[in-house]
Amino acid sequence: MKQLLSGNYAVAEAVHLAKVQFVAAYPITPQTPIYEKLSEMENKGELNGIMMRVESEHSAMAACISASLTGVRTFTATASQGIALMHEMLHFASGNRVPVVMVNVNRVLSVPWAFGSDQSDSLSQRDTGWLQFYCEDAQETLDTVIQAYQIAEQALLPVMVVMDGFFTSHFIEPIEIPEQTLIDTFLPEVAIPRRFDIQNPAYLSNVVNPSQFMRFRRRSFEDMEKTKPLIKETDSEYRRIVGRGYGMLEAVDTDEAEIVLVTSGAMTGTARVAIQSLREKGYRAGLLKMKAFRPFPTQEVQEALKDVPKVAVVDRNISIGKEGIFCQELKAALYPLEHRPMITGYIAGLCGADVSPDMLEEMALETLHRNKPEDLPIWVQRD
Amino acid sequence: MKHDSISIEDIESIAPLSRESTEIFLTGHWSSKKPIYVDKTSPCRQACPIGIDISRAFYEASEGDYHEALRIYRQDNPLPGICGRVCYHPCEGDCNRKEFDEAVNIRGFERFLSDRGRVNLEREAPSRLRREKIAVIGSGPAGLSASYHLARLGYSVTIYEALPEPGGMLRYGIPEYRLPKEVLRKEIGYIQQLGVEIRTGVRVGKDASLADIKRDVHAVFIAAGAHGGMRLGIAGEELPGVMEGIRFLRSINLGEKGKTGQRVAVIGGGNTAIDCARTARRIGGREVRIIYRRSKAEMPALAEDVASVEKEGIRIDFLAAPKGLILDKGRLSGIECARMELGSPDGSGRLQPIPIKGSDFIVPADTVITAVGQVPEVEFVRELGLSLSQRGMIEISPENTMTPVEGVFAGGDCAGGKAFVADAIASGKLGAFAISCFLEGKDMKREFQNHRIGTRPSFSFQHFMDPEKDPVDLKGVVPFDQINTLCFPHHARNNNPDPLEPDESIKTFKEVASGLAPARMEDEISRCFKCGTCTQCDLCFLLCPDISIMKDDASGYRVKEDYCKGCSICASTCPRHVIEMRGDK
Repeated sequence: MKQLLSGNYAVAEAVHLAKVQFVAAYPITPQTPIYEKLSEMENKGELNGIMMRVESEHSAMAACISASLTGVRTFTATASQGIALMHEMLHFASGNRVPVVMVNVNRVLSVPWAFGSDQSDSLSQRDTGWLQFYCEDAQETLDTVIQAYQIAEQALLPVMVVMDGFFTSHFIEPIEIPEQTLIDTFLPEVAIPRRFDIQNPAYLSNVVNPSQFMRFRRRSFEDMEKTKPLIKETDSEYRRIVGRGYGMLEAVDTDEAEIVLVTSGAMTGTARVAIQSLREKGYRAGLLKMKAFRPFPTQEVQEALKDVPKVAVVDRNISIGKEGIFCQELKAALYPLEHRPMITGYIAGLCGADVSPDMLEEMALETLHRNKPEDLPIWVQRD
Repeated sequence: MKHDSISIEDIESIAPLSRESTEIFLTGHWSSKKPIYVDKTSPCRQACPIGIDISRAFYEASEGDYHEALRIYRQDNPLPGICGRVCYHPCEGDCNRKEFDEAVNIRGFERFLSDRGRVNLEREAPSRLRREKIAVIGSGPAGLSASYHLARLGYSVTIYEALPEPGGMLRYGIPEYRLPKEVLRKEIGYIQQLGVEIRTGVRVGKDASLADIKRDVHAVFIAAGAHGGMRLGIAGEELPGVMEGIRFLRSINLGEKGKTGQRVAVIGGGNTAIDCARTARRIGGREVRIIYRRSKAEMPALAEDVASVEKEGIRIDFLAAPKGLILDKGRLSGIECARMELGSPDGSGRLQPIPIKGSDFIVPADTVITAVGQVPEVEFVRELGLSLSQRGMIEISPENTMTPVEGVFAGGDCAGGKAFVADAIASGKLGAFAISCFLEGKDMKREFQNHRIGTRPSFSFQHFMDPEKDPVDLKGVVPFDQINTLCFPHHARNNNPDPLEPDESIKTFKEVASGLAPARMEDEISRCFKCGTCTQCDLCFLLCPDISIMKDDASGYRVKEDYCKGCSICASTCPRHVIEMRGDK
């Protein structure tokens, strides 16, 4: 049965279904309703664990890491300045190989101070050793949070599930909350190493020499690579039990397409409409939705775009000094191809600015009619 | 579901974990700044003429050891019961807590210690006796203090006292209701028990010759006080009904049944004037008033004593100066006064009173007590060839109390010192120090600098006797801005109570102010910041982010310099500025 829920409340339901034992978080717009809803559940005795009220996101992550080291299932949520403050501890989490799951609700980073959706907060954490999944809507976010525990606990790597601030976090959609019995079938009880033993004391985050360090980092890298089949398998298992799946990416009508739009997050929903409209007008337009960002699905992207002549990447983020971050990553992934598509990068929708179907159509057509690639991204803004 | 691609058999192969100690990493080696613990000097100690280590005594008391606190007081001051009652407490004037809410009741603390603490004379007795003998002329605060410190150094001391009982002005000047004789008897008793001989009833210059005394000893300290009253210099001062204040107080303290008329006028604005007025009120003066030529702000008397005068129904006529005495049928009937106004400051910094023409008025009075200053009665020193100043004072070098005659030293009121008890005690202490340096052949100026407290003319006697036992930076005075006030809640001061209503207290000579009850004293002790004194509060130990501060034992904290990174959190949070960062490259 479907319920009308905001994305934030859908996340809280997922945390509830996953029987998370420990939540430490600090409120920040637009994530706060997750915190509030979980708090309410705890107050009613519905939560399977406890909430720890901390004084900052840095402490929230430190608490989740510590709790996870004792072998319990942990959760936190944050956004924007919160994840920026958490940065140091994100490295601690991945370095200590703790399967913490975090939802980041995309919000622009200051300054100037603002609130709208913008992926630069989570993308700034690209190199912290976390898996990152960008979700299109609230339903996908709910399902991905549950899948994230399976992946994280198998790989012993932390997972970040990302959704757009307001568009996803606050808009109310009909959401299917899976039956607890189905989730219990899908997600086993937590069984992760308990790293602390009072009888045999030790400490973590210790100093190592360069050669040890490289071995640990390489192992993390290799295990992250190995999560690719795990992610796929987890997704198909979820689809089998619960009835929904998303893949590492989604290619829509990319076969024999003359132009493919590449999007991530909530903007993908709009892009679906734009592609439909273009196809009705006779263009062979396709769509590539990027879901997994770390690990980056290089082979899957190559497979989807190997025969496509023109690609337009739309980024709701900007790496100042280069271009949109998905565009960079995509270019790098496609470079080994013999027949590389011509790629044009667009910057649109920063800070939650409007990106309408006709804007996306125009970007696709402009790319289609372009003869040579543009090094710098094209800024698209309609006031 | 267990995925094939990832298999983690050994968690320690993917995330490091250590069962070794981190101590092999000397993480503080690159840092040049390290904290050091040095106890410093509180501003109250610097302000105290006697240089008492007040903050350390407060610390010991806060640990419940009142006996040790009293011992610390007695390192520098043999008369804490007296100072705890009558001192003008310049310590409180400089108390850092004054900048926060109100100064700590330091005088009340000193009184509490002397009332409740136990004196251990064995610890004060000299470790060895010296052969030199010293004569002290006068057993007032200066003479007692000099004798006490000389006795502690091992000298044999004899005091010559003209009056029948020892104490000088403490006994014959200060009334019982401010300073009970029992307190005096007890504290003089300790000095006698240390071996000081007091010969009372021997007036030097009359009953014994100063030259004879000097011949038998190695040094003489003259502290004969200032027992003569100054004259007003107006007609009629010899009339019956006109008394010198200091004689009046002395006669009462000698146990004579004093008598005044109904209408008493006291001339003067110092503590003697206040004491005379309050004494007159107690022996039957119905209408007692004080006539003072300046305004309240210029009064040399302590503000709290002025307030008690007013409570006891004594009126003060400010800006009035006597011009002449008025007789009616051969009896005193009043004082003719002139109204004054204040002009520019005089040599003492106080505003000079100037008579207003045609402002004369008459104050009715049948008794006039004059308390306009005191002069020494020390003509006897001339037999040693010493000369006196214009004001009748023995001339000394103020840094070392030496007179021009070798081996003869002088201090207290007779040598022009400030007329407060604490200053007389300080003067006696300086005399003992000077005599010791003289007899030991030490460079007095250098010695004084070594033991001097802050920038004021006081020094630590403990430090002089044994610097090892007083390991305090005497020159480092803790300013208010170095106190971490976040560690201290605001809290009102506990004053010594006056349990009797003023109309009851004027019926007797019973002590007016009471000591603080133990609970209130504890409260007041906790108010004290203990500036510069480590109280082992553990804040440094708890806040050190690198666990580089160790607590070894009662001796305090140890910094593990191999690990300390010099972050300075300990130094900047130390509530009382004991920790400092040192070691800049």
